[in-house]
Amino acid sequence: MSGLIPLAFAFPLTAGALGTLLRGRRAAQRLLTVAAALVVLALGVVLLAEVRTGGVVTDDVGAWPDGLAIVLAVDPLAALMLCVTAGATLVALTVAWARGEDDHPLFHPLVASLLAGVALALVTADLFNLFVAFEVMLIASYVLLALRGGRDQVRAGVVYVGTNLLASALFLLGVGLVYGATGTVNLARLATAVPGDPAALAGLSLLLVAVAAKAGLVPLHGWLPRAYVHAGPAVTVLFSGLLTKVGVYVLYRLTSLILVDVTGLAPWLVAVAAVTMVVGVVGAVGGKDMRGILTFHMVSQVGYLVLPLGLMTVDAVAAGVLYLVQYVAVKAALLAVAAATRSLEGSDRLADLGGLLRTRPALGIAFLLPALALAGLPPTSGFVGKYLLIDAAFAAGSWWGGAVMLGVSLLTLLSMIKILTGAFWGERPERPDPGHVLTATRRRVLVGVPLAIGVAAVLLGPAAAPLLELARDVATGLVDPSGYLTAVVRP
Amino acid sequence: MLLPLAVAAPLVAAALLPLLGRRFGRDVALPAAAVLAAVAVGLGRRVPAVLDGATATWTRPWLPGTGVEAALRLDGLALLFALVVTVVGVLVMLYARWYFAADDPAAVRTVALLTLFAGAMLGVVLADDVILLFAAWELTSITSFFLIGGDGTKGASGARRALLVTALGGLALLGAAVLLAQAAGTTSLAGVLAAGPEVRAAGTATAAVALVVLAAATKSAQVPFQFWLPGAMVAPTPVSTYLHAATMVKAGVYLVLRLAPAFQGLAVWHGTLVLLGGTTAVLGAWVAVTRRDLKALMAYSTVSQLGLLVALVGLGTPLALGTAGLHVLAHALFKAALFMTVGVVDHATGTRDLDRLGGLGRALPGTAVAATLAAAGMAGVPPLLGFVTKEEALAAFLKGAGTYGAPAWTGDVGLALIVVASVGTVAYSLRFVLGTFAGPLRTPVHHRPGGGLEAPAVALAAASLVAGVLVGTLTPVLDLLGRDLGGGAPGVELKLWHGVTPLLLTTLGVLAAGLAVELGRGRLVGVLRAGRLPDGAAAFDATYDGTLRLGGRVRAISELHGLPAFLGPPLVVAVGLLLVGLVTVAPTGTPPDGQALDWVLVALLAIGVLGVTQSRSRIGAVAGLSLVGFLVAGWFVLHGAPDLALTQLLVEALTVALVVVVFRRLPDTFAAGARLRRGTAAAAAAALGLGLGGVTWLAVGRTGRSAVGDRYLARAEELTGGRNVVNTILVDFRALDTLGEIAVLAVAAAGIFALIRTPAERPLGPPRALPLDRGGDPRWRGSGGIEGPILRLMTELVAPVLLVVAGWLLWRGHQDVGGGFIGGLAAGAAAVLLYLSQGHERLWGSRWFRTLPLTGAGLGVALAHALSGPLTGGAFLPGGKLTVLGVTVARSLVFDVGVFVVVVGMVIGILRHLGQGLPEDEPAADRGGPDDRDPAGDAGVRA
Repeated sequence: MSGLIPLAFAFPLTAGALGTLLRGRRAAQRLLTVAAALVVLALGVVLLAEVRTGGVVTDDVGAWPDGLAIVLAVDPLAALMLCVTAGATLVALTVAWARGEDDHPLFHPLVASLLAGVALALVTADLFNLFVAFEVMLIASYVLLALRGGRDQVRAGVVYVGTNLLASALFLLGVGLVYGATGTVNLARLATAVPGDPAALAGLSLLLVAVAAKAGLVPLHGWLPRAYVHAGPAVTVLFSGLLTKVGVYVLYRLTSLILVDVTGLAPWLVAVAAVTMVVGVVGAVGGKDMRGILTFHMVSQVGYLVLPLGLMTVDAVAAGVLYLVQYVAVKAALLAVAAATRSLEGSDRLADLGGLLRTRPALGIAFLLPALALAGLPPTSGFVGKYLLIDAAFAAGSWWGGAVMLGVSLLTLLSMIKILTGAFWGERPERPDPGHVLTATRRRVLVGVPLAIGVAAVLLGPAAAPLLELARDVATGLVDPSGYLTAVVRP
Repeated sequence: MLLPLAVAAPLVAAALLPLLGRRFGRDVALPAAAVLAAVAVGLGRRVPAVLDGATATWTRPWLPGTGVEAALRLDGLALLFALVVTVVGVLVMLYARWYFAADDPAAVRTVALLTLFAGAMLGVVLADDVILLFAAWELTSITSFFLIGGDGTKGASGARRALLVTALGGLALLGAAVLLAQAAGTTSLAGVLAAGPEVRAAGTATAAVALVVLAAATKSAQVPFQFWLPGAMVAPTPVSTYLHAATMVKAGVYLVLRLAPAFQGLAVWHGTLVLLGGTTAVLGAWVAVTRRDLKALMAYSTVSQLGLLVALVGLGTPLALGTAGLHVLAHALFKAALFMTVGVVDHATGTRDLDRLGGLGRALPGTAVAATLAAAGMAGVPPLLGFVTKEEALAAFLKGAGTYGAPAWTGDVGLALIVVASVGTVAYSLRFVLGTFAGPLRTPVHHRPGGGLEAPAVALAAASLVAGVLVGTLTPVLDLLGRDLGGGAPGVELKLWHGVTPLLLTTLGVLAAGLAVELGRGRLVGVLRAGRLPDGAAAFDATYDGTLRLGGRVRAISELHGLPAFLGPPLVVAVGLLLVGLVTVAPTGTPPDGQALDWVLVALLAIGVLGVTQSRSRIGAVAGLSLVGFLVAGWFVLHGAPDLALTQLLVEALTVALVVVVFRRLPDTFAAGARLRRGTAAAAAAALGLGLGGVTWLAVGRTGRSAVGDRYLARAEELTGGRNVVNTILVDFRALDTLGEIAVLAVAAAGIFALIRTPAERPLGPPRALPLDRGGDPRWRGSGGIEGPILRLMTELVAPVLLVVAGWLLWRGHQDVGGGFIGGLAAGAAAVLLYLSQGHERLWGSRWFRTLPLTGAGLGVALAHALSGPLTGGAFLPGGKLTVLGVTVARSLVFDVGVFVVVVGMVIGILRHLGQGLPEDEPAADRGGPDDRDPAGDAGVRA
């Protein structure tokens, strides 16, 4: 099994390299990228089956002895995230194809490279290697963002790349300090070496700033909604599923291994998460177009995902994991609806839209179902996630953390209603019809993808048991990382 | 199986009805009615058993590990509500069949949603798990939202108010459910009720009470949330009848009834509910007196009746709780009938305005009879059921709280409020009947209702009458509810005539006062209207708009241009954390060995950095930056790191050359920045640098070489066969990092290609042939070539030599200073020389100097090496030897070749796409202009 791990990185990267060489052949590129995502998905499934009950699979890259090799490791969280990432990539690729957004010679190679970087970040157990993985992600995402090359895209790209370069620099400086202080970049060794070492902690804090910025935690969140709205709609789907979630993943990993032993940190995590939730949702409420609302929501949801880290009980972390999995799908669906609306109506500004529930009922349902899930309303998977989070917060004595979640979910609902009443109810303003710019098949796919996710989200509420059991297995491994530590530690 | 079927059947039917709707249109109401009738019959057969105290349960696991189950339970209270939901549901469906026009597109949607709602409502009353109860509760709110909103053309704001208000309560319910479950140790509703003492003793009891009351108040339209209910009246009459009169608005009452045993004895529970309910009853009744729109009148009447119910629950005696249950039934019967008659009147005359109505008694006799009976029940006139329940309600307050836990004042205060409310109720009931059906005919009937439209209301009114006459048969129900909820049978025999008692006198007094109010209505309404109440809907809308405005301000950050606003927060946070860290770091060990020269270098570096920050000229800044780079390279040499030094030197040299190529397109100087911003930036940079330096000086710099570092030095040659430890780390031990980094280079090169050659706006095609600039334009406006015979000769000699050197560096890298990266940089330098001497056209025309083929192929070679391991049964990125044509080399040389090619490709990419001369018709760059505030933003657009 262990020999499979590097393939999660190597296969998409190979697809990217080949895709570059085949840049004139769109069909071949599509095949390569989809194959890459499917391979990552298959690897995730196989590895998840392997490690499900607390196992950890590792691979010493190059088989160098004596702790000289970079260690890759897959625990249930990493395996699950590989599946989620690959799934989100496939959704984004489908939307991109349906909208014709992948008709750029570099789109597919860039997506494949992005996937490679994300996969590496998920499986690495080496702090410096994690930095490299972040770099691969960053550069690919930057080019994807600016790919359309309009003035807005480039301006957004400057903000995006500037902020992330600063974050990367801080990350690198942090890694330098941590390595200098502890003499290792192996995550398992850092788990014991860092918490008691002030210099290493200083390095870690820089690193955390970088990760928090990438995850979009307040007050380091501004770049995210600024940049994401200007990406291609399908690219936004991709970024939503992959980029910030990797930041969250790294926070989960670092908290499980290291931060949990740093005294006095937990209340701060809860506080930052709460502020992030509130700021994100209030910003979302103020949006005037579908993607503007949805991208600001990402900030809010990151708060939901980070809050369990301040509690670090199995219940809380399981809730966070379940929430993450369903949220990635739900947000992908909502962004896909925004993408579809842009294609079908020529705009996703609420002021330009109206009456879509009557004129395009399928699109309306495709919006409604995931919107209910995002707002955490029953019977959707979002409700299960929200309930588990609130229950875990109250059980852990974090009254106001739970209370903030309750309040934020009301505002989330408000923002969804804003989209509903603005775009799907009412009357469409007088505006030239963009006409059928897409073929019927593509239109059907464009609406069908979010619709299918929405139906799944509704079914996953009543039938949440399998996912919840999986999330509990993942959480058990995070709250008690001894299995990971034993498997990863090298001399 | 009855219980899950009862909930699931309407839900499944709701999903299927739209499919039938295409063919059958409004007739889908008939199968919907049939489904609800079947459920009603199934539940009705359980009545005798339930009256005997039997309960039915059904449980399936739902959320493993949390104890949350899909649990249903049928007891007296649940059965009462479930029968109301299904029986009224059947009649509403039949009514809807004749209410909608045959071609009304709203019919199918409304019927399907009503059926969905019925399932959800049955879920609320049958749930035996607090989380399931919440889920069903929210589902009723959602269906209500869509029923009010309709197709979204006119009901949007009413629907939004209703949903957000009820969702606020829903979240309160969720909070309460979690608190109750944690206090009781189970999410089972029966378990929570059984754990009453624990629930009341928990520190969260008051919070739980507050949340439950909030939930009930929003759902059941209590003050100050009553405003959403009149707003919901834009919905079609079947919806108003079913959700906003008979069932959904009772969910709040159901909740407080259901949880009454758990909170019994908590003064805050009883007191709050009596005051809340009593106030709402009074307010609702007297506002209803002033309404002219029949639907609004009925809506405020509902608010008032719900207030009465809540106040009864607050009193908390067995009689009060049992009566509340029966009054739910009575109210459902008469209020559903009333709404239906209002719908008939509206349908027949086209108006609901009391000022335009009158004298309809002769034209609509059936409706008039039904409306009169129902209104009599509402006013509490014998012999209707409403009379009995109203009288028992007054009786309960007259008797007072007794020993059942409510504060003593609740009886008297409650009585006073209810009496005042009841007077208003009598008045508006009279007003409704007289104003609509008596007197002169004002608006004629132009649209005769079908029998199907009138019959359901008649049936409901008749039921109200029969139940009143045979009220004795309901005594066991009262007893059962009293026992289940209040801890004992009320010991009251329900009947129409108790003899002349204070109770009867109170009732008669109320009726008389109500009559008097109606007679003196003219003056009274003016007085009532003058005393304006705060408008809840306006307050809601103001809050809503305010939230949106706040959102606009919060998201302003995401609409800024320019980088500084985005770099500030991470820098400030990082610096803050670093300084906090610095304070905690204590010096460990001895200071690192230093040389005097180190300090000279530090001083020079500081000067270089300062120069960069102070330079207004772009070229000057780059020169300063490269000076810093060269100094660092020198520092590497000083400390014996030739590989690093060589790499650094080559990178610096190339960077200067390439950056200058790019800078041709930009203004010579930076835009003038605000002094404050520069100062802040300088302070942040200095603080970051000093913090990092401090931590390094105090701790990190004193730790010596790491154990891993020692092992690299000790074992590199033995393991890899390479003497150059730096290179073995790059291509062997940590080749995965290198693979990632060359991927970064390759993607960056692709990015340059994409940004220059394929943007949507103004794509840049192949460069046109341009004459070489002979005049030495400082911006090399022409082809990019540098003229001058000596330079040209030199570069033509040097470039091939450099290429050979590059190959040599690549070849020897594993053993001595060199390697793929350094070699690639050297080859890149050769390419730069070629570009400078022969111009852009030479590169552009060459088959070999292509960006993407080079980077793609280089990356491919590196990956081929990486994957050759697993393909031959070895490790990913394998070590070992390779013998080709008798020459034995390290296997990782293949990998290094890949690195080499990618680096060359990257340099070529910059030269090809950024090194192209500007055509004469393209301005080099705007000097100044509107982009001045955004110095970073203009780079890409024009490049």
